[in-house]
Amino acid sequence: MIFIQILVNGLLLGGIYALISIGLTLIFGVVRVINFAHGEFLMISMYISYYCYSLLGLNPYWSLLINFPLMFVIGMGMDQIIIRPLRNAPAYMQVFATVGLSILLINLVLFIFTGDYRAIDLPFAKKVVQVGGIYLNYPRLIIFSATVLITVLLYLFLKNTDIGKQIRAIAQNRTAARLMGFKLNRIYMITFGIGSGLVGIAGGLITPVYYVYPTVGVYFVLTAFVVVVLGGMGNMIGAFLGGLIIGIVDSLSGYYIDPSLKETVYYVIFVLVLIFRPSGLMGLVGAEEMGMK
Amino acid sequence: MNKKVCRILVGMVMALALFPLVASGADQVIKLGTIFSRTGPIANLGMESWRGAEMARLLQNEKGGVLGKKIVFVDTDAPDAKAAVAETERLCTVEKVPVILGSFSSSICFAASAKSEQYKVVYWELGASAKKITERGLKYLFRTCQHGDGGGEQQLQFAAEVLAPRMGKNRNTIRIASVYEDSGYGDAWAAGIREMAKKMGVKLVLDESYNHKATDLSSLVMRIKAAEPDVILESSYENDGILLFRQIRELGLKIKMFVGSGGGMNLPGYRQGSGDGVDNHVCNVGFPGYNLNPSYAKGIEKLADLYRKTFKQEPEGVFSLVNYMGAMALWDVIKRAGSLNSEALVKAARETNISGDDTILRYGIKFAPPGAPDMGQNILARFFVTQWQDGKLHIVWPDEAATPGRKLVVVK
Repeated sequence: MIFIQILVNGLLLGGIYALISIGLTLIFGVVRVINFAHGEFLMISMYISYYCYSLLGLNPYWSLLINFPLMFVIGMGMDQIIIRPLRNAPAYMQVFATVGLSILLINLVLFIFTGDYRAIDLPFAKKVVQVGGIYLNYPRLIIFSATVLITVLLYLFLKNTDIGKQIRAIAQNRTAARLMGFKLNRIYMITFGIGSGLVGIAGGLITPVYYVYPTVGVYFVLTAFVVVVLGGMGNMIGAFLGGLIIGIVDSLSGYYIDPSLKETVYYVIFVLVLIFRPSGLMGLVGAEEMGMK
Repeated sequence: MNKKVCRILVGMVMALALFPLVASGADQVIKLGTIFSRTGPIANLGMESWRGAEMARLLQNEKGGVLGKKIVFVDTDAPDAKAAVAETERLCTVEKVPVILGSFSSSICFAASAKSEQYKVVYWELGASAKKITERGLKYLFRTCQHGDGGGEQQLQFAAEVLAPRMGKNRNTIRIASVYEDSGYGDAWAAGIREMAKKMGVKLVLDESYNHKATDLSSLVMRIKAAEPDVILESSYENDGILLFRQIRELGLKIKMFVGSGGGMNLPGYRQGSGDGVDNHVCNVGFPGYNLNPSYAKGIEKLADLYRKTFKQEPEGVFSLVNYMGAMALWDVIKRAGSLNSEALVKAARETNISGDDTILRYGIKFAPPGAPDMGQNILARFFVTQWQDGKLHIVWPDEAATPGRKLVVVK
C-alpha cells in the first residue's frame, strides 16, 4: 500500500518535471540552443499567475489563457533579440547569453518584487481525493493530465500540421531544410515561442502547488536538464517518459534510501546516462553533439 | 603683485579651506561592517535580521553615537558562504572596519568569522544558530543570541514536559518525530534534540533530514506517516516549511502539534503559504516578535514604531528584535573599551555583564570566558515559544512573556 502511494506520488511529481522539460527539449532539438533561462521563464510565468490571482482575483487555471500567449511572445522575443544575433556563433556564446539572461531575470525580479515567498492559498489546491486508500491531490492530478494532453497534442501538431512538419524537418537536417527553401528564422522564432509557451503553462499549473520566489526556476530547471538528457535531447516522448522516470526515482529513493539523498540518486543516473548513452533513452545517436556543429 | 603670485596665493587659500573638510570627514564617524544575505534564497530572512542592527544604530546615533561619533554601517551582501568570505576580506582590508556585525545564516557566519579572525577584526554574531560557531576557540568572535543546540534541547523539553501532559500523555508515551533541513541550521537544532532526548530518556520515533531546496518532500512525508508521531519537531526555512506542511496535508497525514525552531516557520509568508491549517497547531521555539507583553519587554512598543517609520512596513518578523538586542550590547562594549582597538574591544567584551533587567528580551549578556569550550557564546541567552493563532504569531511561553490575552493552545 505504501509502495503504491509512493509510486503514485512519483508519477504525479514526474508529470511536473515532464511538463517543464517538454518545452526545453523542443527548443534544444530544433533551435539547438540550451536555454539556461528556461527556469526563469517558468518563474516569470508563476509570477504572472500569482499577480493575476492576487490583483485581479483570476483563478490560476483561467489565467493560463494569459500565461501561454504572453510567454509565447516573450519566447519569440528572446529568440529574436538574444539568440538570433548569435545563430552562427560558437555554442558557448549562446550558453553565455542564456546564462546571462537567466541571471538578469532573477535579479530583475528580485529587485522589483523582493525575495519574499509568495503563495496562492487556493481552497481547491488542498483538495484530496482518496481512491482505495491512496491519496491523490487535485492540482497534481490536473498537472499530470495536462502533461499527457499536451504531449499528445504536441505530437499531433508536429506530425500533422504544416508548421509542425517544418519544425521536424529542421530538427532532422538544418542544411537540407534551408536548401528546400524553409524560412529557418521564422521557424526558430515560433519554436522558441512554443517552448516558452509550454513552460508558461507549466508555471501556471504549478503555482497553486508551490510558492513563488525569484530563484524557484533554478531548482526545477536542474531537474529538467536531467530529464531532457535522460529522454534524449529533442525528443518529446523522451522528455515525457524521462520526467516520469525521474519522478518515480525521486519518490522511491526518498523513501527507501533517504530523503536527503534522493537528488543524489538522480544526478548519479544523469552522469551514468552521459557516460553510457549520451543520446538518452530515445534520442538519435549523435544528437548530443548537435548543438556543437 | 603679479598674476602668478596671486594664483599661487588663491590656490593655497583654497587648499587650506578644503583641508578641514577632508580631515573632518574621516574622523566624525565610526565605520562598522555588516554581513547579511541581502539577495539569494534567504534574502528576506537576512534583511529582516539586518533591520534589527540598523535600528540599534539609528537609536544609538540619536543619543550621540559611541565615543562621541556617529555610527555608519558598511553594508555588504553575502548570498552564500563564498561571497561572505570575499566581503569579509574587503571589509577588513579595504574598508578597515574594527567590527563586523552579522549574519543570520550559520554557514555564512562560519566562513566570514574564520576570515575576520585572521585579520583580528571582531565579529559580532547576532542571530546564527549553529553551536559549532562558538566552539572553535576564536578570540575575536562573540555571539549574543542562543544557539540551535540549546534551542533543540528546548524544543524537546517543551514537547515532552509542556505539550505531553496537555495531550494526555507523558514523556514515555508521547511519540515525537524530529525532521530537519540538512544545513548548519537544521543540523544544530536536531543535534540538540537528540542530546536532550538521550538525557531525558525520551525515544524519538523518527529522526530525518532533508534538503531545503528540494522541490518535493512526499517521500519524507511517507516516512513520517509510517512513524505515526503525535508531535513533530521541525527545523525548516520558509519554502521547505510551506512545502512540507502542504504535502503533509495532501497525503492525508493528521499531525496534532508541530514545534518549529524559528527559521522559516516564524515568517508571515509561511502562514500565508501554508494556510489557516497552521493556526493552533504550529508552535515555534525561537526568537520572539514584537508582540511580547510590553510590561515584560520594556520599550518594545517604541521600537515597533521606529520599525514602522524606518522601513515602512509592519514589524511582523522575529529576527530583528534579537539582532537589535545584540547590536545594542555592542555599543556598550565599545563604550567600555574606550577605543576601536581590537584588543581593547575583546577585553571589554569579555567583561560584559548586562543584567536581564536591562535588556529588551529580559535575558542577560555574559560571554563564556577564554578556555571554556564555547568561548564567546552568550551563556544567558534563551528562547521563547510562540504559536500561530488566528493568523498571527503570539508568544505563549514563558507565561509572563505571553502576549496579553493569549495562551498556549494544545490540540489533543
